[in-house]
Formats: sequence, structure tokens, C-alpha cells
Amino acid sequence: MAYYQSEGIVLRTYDLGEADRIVVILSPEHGSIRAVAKGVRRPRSKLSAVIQLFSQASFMLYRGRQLDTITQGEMIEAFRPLRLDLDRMASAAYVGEWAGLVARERQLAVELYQLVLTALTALCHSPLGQLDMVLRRFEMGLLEVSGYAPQLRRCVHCGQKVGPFVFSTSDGGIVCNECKGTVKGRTLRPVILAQLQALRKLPFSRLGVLRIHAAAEKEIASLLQEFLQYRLEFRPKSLAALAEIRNLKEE
Amino acid sequence: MMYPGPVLRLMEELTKLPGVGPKTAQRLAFHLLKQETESIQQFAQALLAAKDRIRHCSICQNLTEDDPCRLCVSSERDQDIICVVEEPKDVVALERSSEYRGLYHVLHGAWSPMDGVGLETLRVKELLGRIKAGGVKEVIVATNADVEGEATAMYLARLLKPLGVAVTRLAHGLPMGSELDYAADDTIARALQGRHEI
Repeated sequence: MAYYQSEGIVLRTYDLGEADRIVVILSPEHGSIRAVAKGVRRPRSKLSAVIQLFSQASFMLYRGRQLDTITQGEMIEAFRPLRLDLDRMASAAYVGEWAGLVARERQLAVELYQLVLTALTALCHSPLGQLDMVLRRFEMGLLEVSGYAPQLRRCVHCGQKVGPFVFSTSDGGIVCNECKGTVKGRTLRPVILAQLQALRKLPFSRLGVLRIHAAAEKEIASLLQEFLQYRLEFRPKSLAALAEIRNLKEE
Repeated sequence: MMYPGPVLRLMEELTKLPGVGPKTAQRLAFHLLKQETESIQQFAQALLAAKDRIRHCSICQNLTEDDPCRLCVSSERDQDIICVVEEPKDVVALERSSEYRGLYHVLHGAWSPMDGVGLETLRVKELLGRIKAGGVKEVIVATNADVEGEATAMYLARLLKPLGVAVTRLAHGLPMGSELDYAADDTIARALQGRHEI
């Protein structure tokens, strides 16, 4: 099967040679696909639109030994609002960077694809004040998809359901007072635990119902990011961009 | 069979170039070895001279032999308008059009969160310095019409507008010779926004 067709979302592009680009596509059936898009840096290229970052398109590809080649592409969703706003763009870059890390070549990625698609849609249409919450929901989803979802219902050691609890990154979830012992964990206020539990269940479209204070939001962000980085052993470069945008706003 | 030491070293150096893998390096190395000594000397001298004599203009950050560059010191250029581009090659492209008579500023990249390219990496501080020094009325953002270029443009607009300069963007639309059927939704939307009477 030299030719194959696949839907996908463009996660990364790299310049190649005079006018080509290597495109990293997240596909539900094939996971991460690395393909060459020929001549796409020329203004008259018919493929240049579909290989823009975060475009969702239907691609026709030719299987190669190392890299595949994109022969045709039909746009499904361009996620235009992402390109018109810096905050949305930086948030999408964060989503894309994690997705690129977790996706494996030539492996099914149906759940990850759906998660990224839903997160990008939410980043397009959510109010600007809610973008951080969309990212938190994405982080929670990413942990589930990659098999590292934190235990938030009962103590990871004894199964105790009644708090107080601490959150232990290394133990993978909440730990009760009896089991705490020498476990290094951060104190978890009941309200934060309830919000983390809600965040795990709520669909992206209903994030607006969560009423979280700025301080609690920061606490949740720090906890989830520490957990993600510990489990996936990666610190996204786009975190710096998000901080940069935030500083620009505050100035 | 192992190649002699100097050939191996040449190949190693060639693989440091962008887009050159071991096979290409081998092909290039053998091509170079076939050349006359004089031709190789000229090649080596050109490399050394370029590295030795070319620097960044302290004003516009473009590549130049003289600092400031000839565009920055030219009395024929409009001093109150700066066109911001990503790379030195973009200055050449704009100059080819013979339409623009203002000054330039080269960022040496585009804002790219996933590659860790931010304000600190780009030559934005130097641009801010030029605008704060006064005399600039308009900044044209001529970064590429891709996602990174658009993000850079938005970034610069957010940064520069509070300084009281007009920040404009090159028009987007259908390229000459293109077919409407293949144009992106985004391109068609922008072409419609930028339509004009004929």
C-alpha cells in the first residue's frame, strides 16, 4: 500500500531544502506521521494552506522508507481564530507540543486525536479568560490518554476515601494522613481536590461552569504541570511563550 | 573501506550544514576533491571572507560589510518608516519590488513557541530602541504569511502600539497565477476584506 489517505492535524513543520517542508501530522489511525510537502514555501503551492500549523485536513500520502510524501490535501478545519489571537495561538502551541511528544509513529492515536481536536476547538471558541482552564482540562485528558491519570478519589496506598489528603507526584495521586509518613507531597485543600475531580469529568464545552479563583487556578496549574513533567519527563518550550504573553499583558 | 582521515574530516564538516546527510556529504566531498586546487582555494577564501567581513548592522540588524549598512545611512530612504522582516533574504525580496523606500529591521526569525524562539531570541529589543529614540511614524510588519509570521505580527503590534506608532501589516490575498479553488479559506477571507475597486 504505497498510497494511503488519512485525516490529520498539523502539529509541526520544518523547512527542508529550497522550498519544501517536513510536516508532522497527528492522525487517528497512524499516530504521528512525518511527511514531506514539496514546494509548499512557494506562493502558488496548492498544499501550503493545508500544512499550516494546527490545520485539520484530509491528506493523501505516499509511503516512503523514512518520510512519507503529501500528494494532496483538503482542508477540514483551519481553526482560524487561533491565528487571529496571540493568547489562543500560544495556548494551541502548548497543546501541539505535548501531542507531538505523546504520539507514536504508526500507532493508533484515536483518543489523543480526539483530545487535541476538542482542545483546539475549545481554544478557538472559549472566552479569553477561560483559555488557561482549557489547558488544564487538556493536561488532565493527556494524562488519561497516556495512562498516567492521577488517582483523585482514594488514597493511592490504602484506598481511604476520606481526607485530608496530600498530593504526591511520585506516588501518582492523593495520599491520606495515615499513609503520608515520609511521602513528599503538597497539601491539598478540599476545594482544590473537588475542582481537580470536576476538571477530569467535565467536557471542554462545559468548563464555563467551573468557578475557580485566580489563586486556586494557579495552584491547579502548578500541580498538573509538575505531575505531567514528572510522568512524561518533558518540559514544553511553549511554557516560556505563554509566560511571555502573560507578562506582556501585565505590562 | 574507511576513507582517509582528511576525507572523513571534510565529510564530517559538510554534514554540519543544514539538510546535508552522510550520503550528500560524501557526494559533495568527492565533488570538491575533483576540483582544481585554485578553485578550492577560492571557495575557502570566499567562506573565510564572508565570515570575517560580514556582521550585523547595529541599526537594522541586516547582514552588512559596513556598519551602519548602506540602507540605514542612505539619505534617499524615508527615515520615519520601518519595515520589519524575518530574515535578510526578505530585505532583498522587498528591494526587488522597487516599491518601498523606507528603512528595514531584521528580526532573524519568527516567534515560534514550540522552538523556544521568543522575544529574547529575536532582535526585538533593538527595534524597540529605534522606536523609543523617536522619529518613526509607521512600522510595517512584513513577516511571512504563515502561522509563525502572523503570531510575530500580533506580538509586535501588542508591543509597539502603546509606543504611539502606526503598526501595519502587508496585505494578504491571492497570489498572481493562483486558482481560487485551491486557495485557503483564510486567504479568501483576507482577500475579500482587502478587495478594492477596479
